Amino acid sequence: MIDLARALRKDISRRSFIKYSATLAAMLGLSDAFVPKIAAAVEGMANGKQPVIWLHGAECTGCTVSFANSHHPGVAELVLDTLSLQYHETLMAASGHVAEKALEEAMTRFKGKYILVVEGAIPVKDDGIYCRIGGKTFKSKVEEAATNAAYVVAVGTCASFGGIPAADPNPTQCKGVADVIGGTVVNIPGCPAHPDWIVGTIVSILLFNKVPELDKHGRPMPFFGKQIHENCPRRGGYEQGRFIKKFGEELPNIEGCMGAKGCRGPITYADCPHRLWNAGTNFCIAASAPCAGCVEPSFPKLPLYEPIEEVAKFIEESEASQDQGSISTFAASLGGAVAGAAAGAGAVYFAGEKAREKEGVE
Amino acid sequence: MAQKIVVDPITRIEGHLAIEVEVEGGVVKDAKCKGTLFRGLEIICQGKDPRDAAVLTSRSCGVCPAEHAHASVQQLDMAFGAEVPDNGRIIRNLVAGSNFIASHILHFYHLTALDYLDIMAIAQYNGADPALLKVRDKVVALVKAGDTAPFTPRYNPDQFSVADPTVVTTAVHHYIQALEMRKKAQEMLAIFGGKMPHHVTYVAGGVTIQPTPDRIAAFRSRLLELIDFINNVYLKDVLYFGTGPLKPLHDMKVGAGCGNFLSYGNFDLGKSGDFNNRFLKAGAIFNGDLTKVNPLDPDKIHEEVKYSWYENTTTGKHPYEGETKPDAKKEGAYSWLKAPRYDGKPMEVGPLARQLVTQEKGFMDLVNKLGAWPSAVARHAARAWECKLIAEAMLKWVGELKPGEPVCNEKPVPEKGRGMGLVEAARGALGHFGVIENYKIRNYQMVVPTTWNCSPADDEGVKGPVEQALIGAPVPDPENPINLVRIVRSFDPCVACAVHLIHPDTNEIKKFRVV
Repeated sequence: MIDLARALRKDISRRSFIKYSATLAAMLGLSDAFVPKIAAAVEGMANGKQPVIWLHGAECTGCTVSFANSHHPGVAELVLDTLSLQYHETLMAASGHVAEKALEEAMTRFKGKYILVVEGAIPVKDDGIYCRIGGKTFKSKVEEAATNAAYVVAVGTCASFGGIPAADPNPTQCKGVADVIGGTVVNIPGCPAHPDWIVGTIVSILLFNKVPELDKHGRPMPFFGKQIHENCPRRGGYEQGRFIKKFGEELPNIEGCMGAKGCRGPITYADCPHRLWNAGTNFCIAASAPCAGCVEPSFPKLPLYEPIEEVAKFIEESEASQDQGSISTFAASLGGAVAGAAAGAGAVYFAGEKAREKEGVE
Repeated sequence: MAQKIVVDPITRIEGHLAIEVEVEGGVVKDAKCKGTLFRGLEIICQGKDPRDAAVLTSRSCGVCPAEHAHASVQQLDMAFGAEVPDNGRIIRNLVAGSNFIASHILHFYHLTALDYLDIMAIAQYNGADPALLKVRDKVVALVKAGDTAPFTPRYNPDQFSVADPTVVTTAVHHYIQALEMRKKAQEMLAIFGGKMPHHVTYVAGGVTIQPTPDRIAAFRSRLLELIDFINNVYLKDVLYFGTGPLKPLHDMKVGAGCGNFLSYGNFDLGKSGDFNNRFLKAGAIFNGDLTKVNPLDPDKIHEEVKYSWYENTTTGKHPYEGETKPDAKKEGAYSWLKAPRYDGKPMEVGPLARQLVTQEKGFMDLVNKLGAWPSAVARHAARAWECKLIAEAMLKWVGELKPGEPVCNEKPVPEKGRGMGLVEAARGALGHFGVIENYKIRNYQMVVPTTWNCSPADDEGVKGPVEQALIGAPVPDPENPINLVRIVRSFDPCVACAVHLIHPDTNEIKKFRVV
């Protein structure tokens, strides 16, 4: 495989060295704190890597797995070229007492300089006893580590807003990081967070020495500024009132909208339709599944497979204009706010199409 | 005088796990497996739309989410009375297989290899292979640049560690390749899954996605690359280690365990959910008797809680009736894991259990040739062998997809019903049990692989499989308990889905650094 970006670089040898060093560091049980020093000694370069402390709480490790799926830069390259992972339970060599000591040392040595990454929600019920690492509650570990962090980054929807462990009835009273510690927390939600969102946000912080512009939910605008629905490859189906009604069916001449199956596209802000997942392989809506709205504070908004109110209303209108009567399958309430203008426009457009069809207009 | 060793957290596994053992005379006398997280996903499922179960429960684990979703949709298929069309069944098999491959490669190279290699041997490599010379030069440079400090914390190599310079250098070279390969397997999954982790295409009655020719081609091309790697790198490495340098460790049966094996079988070949017609077979083996594979009877599954932080009234129930009532102050309890038992016995689950139950000829030849089963080393051999079998079968399955044919047979949510999804995750037998009443989930229970393997003692006081595997392990130097992590990691623990929590241990005698 030809990697153009790599081929165009002038410093191939150093980069490949660093890639090897990263891999070897992980394998040799090197403390990551030491690796930049080694690299610096070997190459006579300044040690300018960003120390990172990565804590795991009420989570599933899915965001770490997603981070390891980073395509360009690859994870090994990333960890050494840009970041110095001081503490990360899944990747680090040390265990037990020594791992905990490494954490304390990193917090002291890089006081005020490290980025704290939190993966997983914080259970606060019963003083946080539902998640402990090395005998301490996760809540207390996050509070302590955040005190002297340069930046706090919540990776994944659990860390950002509570996510699935915080779903009703929230048995362990899970909360997002910002709700527990206050202050500025950069939220990179997603279930899991896309590796580009994680990497891009951190690199942005390093480049400009400040957090990127955030939306009202603390999410970086470059990744979370655009609505899924406005950029959806199935948008044409929506505009023409052509909906997928049964899982696994496809419409013959248009990509049918997933709205009738509960798609959260109209209330979800992320760049999935353009960025795609797993090295550009696919994304949820392209795989004929509804967007679950996994980057939103409301996730998981249940039931997931029933249309949201605005869409249910629109389906009803557009189907009525197709003289098909109302849809009996949707029990969604039709009250409340409706995306009136869009719905109206779509219905009008669709009615126009119908009329042209009837008149035999090409 | 027994010496207590506590390792918390154990790293390079999935999830939060701790172990506590007592060593006397260089041998482990007692062992306890503990975990440190409780999220209550089963409680969250109650009262919800049954279709949401697969989305909620796939979040049990980010390493094997596809398997949780698989168990969940199979229990929905059953409760909804939905027959899955062939395309749907095959796509589910391909997604599951992709998850297995990614997980197995990651486990051997990135989580385990450190337990068996004397890394410093690389410096002595004096062959002529350019790729290996490159690896050597990097390591030498690292050593020269720093001092020995970066190589700690790390255990000292023992008599079982592999120290041949060429072998160790080659292993490091393969480790680097494997990083790319596990990522490729995740991409392969996303082709039919939408994204990974937490793919989105599984629904009751089948899948949402069409097997179009371009997707088939994209999948097949990645699969061929992975098969090449599995057959020519991964399996060869494992067999080389298992029959060569690590043979003595295997012969000593280090990490043998309880001798009972359980497999639910995986990869449906006929009717979806029929565990009697699967590529990897379902069944149970007791007391290491490989001549007798007992048919699987799900009624024999139940969970006990005497040593777990749950109310004692909830003990001994089948998962359909199972309850999750935490009691964090319970006297005598030491784990959030319940103790699942099959026919009253603790069962080892995972690749070794699956292979011994399936008894594929090539694998049984290996068993007969090597003897001394089970062991920690044997688990790695079974994992790699299985990876080859699955990957090659997937090549056949992807050819059986029929573009344009149905992928899903959607059914409405029933007013009431119940279902059971018994599948295998990379780490072992995984069961989801759901009961529907008034169109909603009344009860949902998951019995996950690591709960089987890392279970605490049961009501009779019989220890779980990992605890039994640790007991008797040689720890000649308590300062260097390398065999403990070899054993624990051979089970590929995945603790995020095995809900439990650790109590602060105030009377620790000794803490250890284990890498």
